[in-house]
Amino acid sequence: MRRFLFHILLTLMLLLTGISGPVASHAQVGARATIDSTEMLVGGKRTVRLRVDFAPGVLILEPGIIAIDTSGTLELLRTSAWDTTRVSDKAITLEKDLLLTAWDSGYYAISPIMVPYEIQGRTDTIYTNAIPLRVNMVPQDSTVLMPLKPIIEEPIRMEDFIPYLLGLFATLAILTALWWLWRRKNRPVAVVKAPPVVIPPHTLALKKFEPLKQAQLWQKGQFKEFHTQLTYILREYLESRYGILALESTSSEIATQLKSLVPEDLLQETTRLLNTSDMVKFAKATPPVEVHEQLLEQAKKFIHSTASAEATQTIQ
Amino acid sequence: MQSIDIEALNQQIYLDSAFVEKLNQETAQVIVGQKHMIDRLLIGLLTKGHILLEGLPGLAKTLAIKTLAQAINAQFSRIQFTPDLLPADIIGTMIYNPNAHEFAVRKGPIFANFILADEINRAPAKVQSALLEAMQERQVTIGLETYPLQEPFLVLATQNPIEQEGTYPLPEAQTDRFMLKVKIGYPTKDEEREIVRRNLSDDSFGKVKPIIEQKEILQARSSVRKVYMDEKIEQYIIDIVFATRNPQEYGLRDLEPLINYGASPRASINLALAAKAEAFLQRRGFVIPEDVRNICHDVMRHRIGLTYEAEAENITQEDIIDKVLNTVEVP
Repeated sequence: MRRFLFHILLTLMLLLTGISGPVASHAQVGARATIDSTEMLVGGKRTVRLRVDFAPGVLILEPGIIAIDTSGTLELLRTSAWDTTRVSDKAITLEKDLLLTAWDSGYYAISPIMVPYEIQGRTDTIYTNAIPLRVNMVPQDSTVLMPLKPIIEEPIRMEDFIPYLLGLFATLAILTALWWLWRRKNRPVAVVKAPPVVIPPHTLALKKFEPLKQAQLWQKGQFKEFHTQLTYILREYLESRYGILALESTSSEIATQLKSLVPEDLLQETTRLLNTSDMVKFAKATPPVEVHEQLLEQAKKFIHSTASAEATQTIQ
Repeated sequence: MQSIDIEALNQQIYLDSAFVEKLNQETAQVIVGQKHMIDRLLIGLLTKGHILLEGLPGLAKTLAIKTLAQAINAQFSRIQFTPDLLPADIIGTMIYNPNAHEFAVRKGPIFANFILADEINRAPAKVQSALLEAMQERQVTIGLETYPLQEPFLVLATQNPIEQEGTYPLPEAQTDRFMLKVKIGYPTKDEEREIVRRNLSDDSFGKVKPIIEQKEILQARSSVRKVYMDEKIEQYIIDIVFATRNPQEYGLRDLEPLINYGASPRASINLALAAKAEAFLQRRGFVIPEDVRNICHDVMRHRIGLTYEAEAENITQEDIIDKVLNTVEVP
């Protein structure tokens, strides 16, 4: 039905154009509007070309366009300047393009456009023909369920992270503050330790000989125990004094290590002491009573003789 | 000094061990250097132990045991271990005698006093097992009969440390059966010079005279057992062995990741026995810590398992033993 009405409207317009055309040409000015297509989709664009033919001496003015159609639905996007397309002695042709669009479907009539002109000091107007235009909706197939369009991802911007970063910094600041407060609260009280008392090896050894003597182990028949303790104190002293592994060495190994450290006579005496003690410790030897005391004195003598220079002063 | 028991024992040991010096002099006529190996052979002989010898070829391994066998008038046999060797090739087998229509026993080379099992790791496991079983049991069963091996019986097995391809390395449990694992090295310059001179001279190496009878060796064995070992020495031995099992208890925490398994109780037994034999060789009737330390490497080196970490760091059993000896206090 709508299509039928559109055709009737189109016929009427063509008839009107046919009537008014000769009048305009009679007045030595003719105006005509054409469109590149009488159909378009919603949001599409169409160009209406306005053509004015006139004789020399006529001054064409800018067309007065208030509304491009009666409903005001059509939107005039752009208007080009007059373009002279033909010049001769008898006639001049100007052309102007009007770019249109529409945002609603329907049948529209582009209204006749008024073109003012001046001839011999007199102002007159001429109208173009009206143009029908059908604006269609975008064709849709309702029988098919179209898939959902994917979500359009927004571009990632630094500004989006600012709240999270602020939150993170705030959390770190709070944790740091809490840790600092906890540490401050639990800070150990600085205890000034007295420097360790360093007892020289000879002092320590001589000190240990006293209880050994007082224990009177050999008088009680505990020869093995006496000699074990005697040699242990002596070997402990050697380890501290010379830095040799005396506790982990055998008597002969100790003698070898002492060779370059003590005088020959002292070395021989000490070797004899260690060997005698070995005999008591490992071979059940029972030397005469005076030998035990002699060996103890010999051990003391060795320590006095081998104590370092500053240590000797302390002994005196 | 009065130590009646020990003094008497000392005297007895001094007399019983008199042959040692003569034996050393006699072997020195043939073997230049290698005193360490000869001493260890004697220790094995005196303690009924067997010896695993590791050393490069040409270091007088065969000559040493052959000479020792001659010196004590003992029977010697050498078995070259090869991949195709069979247990019967060692212990013997039953041979059918068609004339008598019966099986007769043919004894293998193991029926000797001194056996040199050369390159023991070249034979498959079943052959190694046959030898090790005979070593342990000191008897061999052929068919239905069991034959005791003659005393003294000493096996000296050698391993070539360089050519490992196509060999069957002895499992740890098997090496533990050897009392000592002795490593021998090259002779010194002077020794090498003497070896060259002797070999170039017209006279070949001197022939060794038998200087001791087998029964004297058996008597010496009982003397070795009598050598006095104080409880402090026993404790020292236990400490050394335990330090390889629980290093952290001896302040050797750094050894813990390096030791896969420590020395077995056989190590303690053999260390004590070998220390007694060492004292005997020194002609002493009692053991001193020196004896334990002298023999410790040879008794322990094949009884400590290393971890991959130790192997990666090129740490050997020798390093572990050195560290233990330098940490455990001597009594």
